[in-house]
Amino acid sequence: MKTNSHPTFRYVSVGYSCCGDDFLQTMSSRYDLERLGCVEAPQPQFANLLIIQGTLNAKLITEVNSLYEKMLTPKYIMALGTCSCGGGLFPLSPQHLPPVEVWVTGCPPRPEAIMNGVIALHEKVSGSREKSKSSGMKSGAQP
Amino acid sequence: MIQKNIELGPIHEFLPGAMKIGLGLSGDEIVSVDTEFGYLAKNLIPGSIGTSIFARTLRLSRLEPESALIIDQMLCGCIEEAMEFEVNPRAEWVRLVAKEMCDLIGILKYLALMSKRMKLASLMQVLLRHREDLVDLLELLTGSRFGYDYIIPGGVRFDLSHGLADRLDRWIHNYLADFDRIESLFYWVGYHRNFLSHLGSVADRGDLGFVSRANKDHTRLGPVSNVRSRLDFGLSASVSVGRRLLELLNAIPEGRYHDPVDRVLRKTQLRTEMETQRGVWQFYFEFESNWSIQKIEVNSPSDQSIKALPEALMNENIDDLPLIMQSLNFIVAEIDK
Repeated sequence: MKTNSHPTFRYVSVGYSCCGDDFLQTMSSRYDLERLGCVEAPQPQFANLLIIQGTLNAKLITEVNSLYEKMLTPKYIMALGTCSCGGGLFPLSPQHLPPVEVWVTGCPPRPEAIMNGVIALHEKVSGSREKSKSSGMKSGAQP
Repeated sequence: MIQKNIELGPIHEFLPGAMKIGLGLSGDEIVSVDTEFGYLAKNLIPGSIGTSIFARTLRLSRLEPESALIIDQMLCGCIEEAMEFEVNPRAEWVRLVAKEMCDLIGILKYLALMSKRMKLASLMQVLLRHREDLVDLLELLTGSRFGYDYIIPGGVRFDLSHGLADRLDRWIHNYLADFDRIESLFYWVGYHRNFLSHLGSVADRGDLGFVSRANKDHTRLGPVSNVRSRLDFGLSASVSVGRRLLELLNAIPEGRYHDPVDRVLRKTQLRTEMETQRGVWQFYFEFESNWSIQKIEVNSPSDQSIKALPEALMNENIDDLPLIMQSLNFIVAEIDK
């Protein structure tokens, strides 16, 4: 029985960067991320989505891993920006990260791209990706 | 050979951690240098884990689009000064317009975060809406939302597009007309209902970022009075920058927005200093003499200078280490000075 075709994502975010600046703008009234069912969690224990914004260093990755362990299951990761996707100015192999569901590239990614990433994650989680592909919808994020 | 580690920092809270320099010594001579950045990450982690996006971004007030534009301006200013190149007045004017727009974007972000801190979500949405419109105009002018690579040697990459001045003019008038409402919401609703309840909240001190850091040894009211003065500054700055931008738009001179920089440079390495609004920045850059800039290394006097450290220290005496490091000026000029 399919109980939750459009799950709500309660996110916590990690990182400092200009991606955070555009993510803040995504929460404004024009884009309104909450209408896509993506709300901020008060604590990591209540979150099921980890949004990594921008630069990561070696020390921070260990903290990301411990934060990931605290989150609710099932849990997902979205990587925002060139730095977290490919290293950017601070090269760091993404293989050190827990498995990332959605990569949203850009320096910084536009709010539309961030919203596309959330939609792509919705599709991926609810298993409707094939259905949307057949109906002609396009996903802006790279899996 | 003896291996020695020198740990620097924490330098400043917006840098991702402290630095470590590993020195290999043969007697008194330095034979190997290994620099590691973000060694402790002491300042990054407490602020980035478990706090909200607003608290983190408040700490990062330096990560504004203005910063990117200022760095471009510094670099191009160094090149133009080295080449004795005179920039067209219109290009200088357009640079100023872009810079003031970025300044205003940063101020609006700060005010939006502050209104969120005061639990005024609707006001935050209003400010972010104004900011988004302005970011759109900046994107129309520079081609990107953060103004990278807009200022180039000899002028700017694009001129003011058709209708941009009018749209910007309209935006400023809209914002100034809306300002009374914003100000009254900040002062009356914020102060008397929510913000006063915020006074005794010790737990929120951590969310105030560098404000609480600056007042950590003071009384409980310290951060709040600091926030109030910052709020006053932000509100008045937004209006003054808006009016200045309006004056700039009304007096843009005619002329070319870009003159080709066509003088041949000999291969050289330059070191120069430029004084900015926020302090002195140093730049080191190299040219090749085949009509194009082969390599430019911009080293602000902060963590970026650490790239130059291995070359500067190699085969030098260990006693000269403090002097060499002092010459590289490992501080963030705009803040720590």
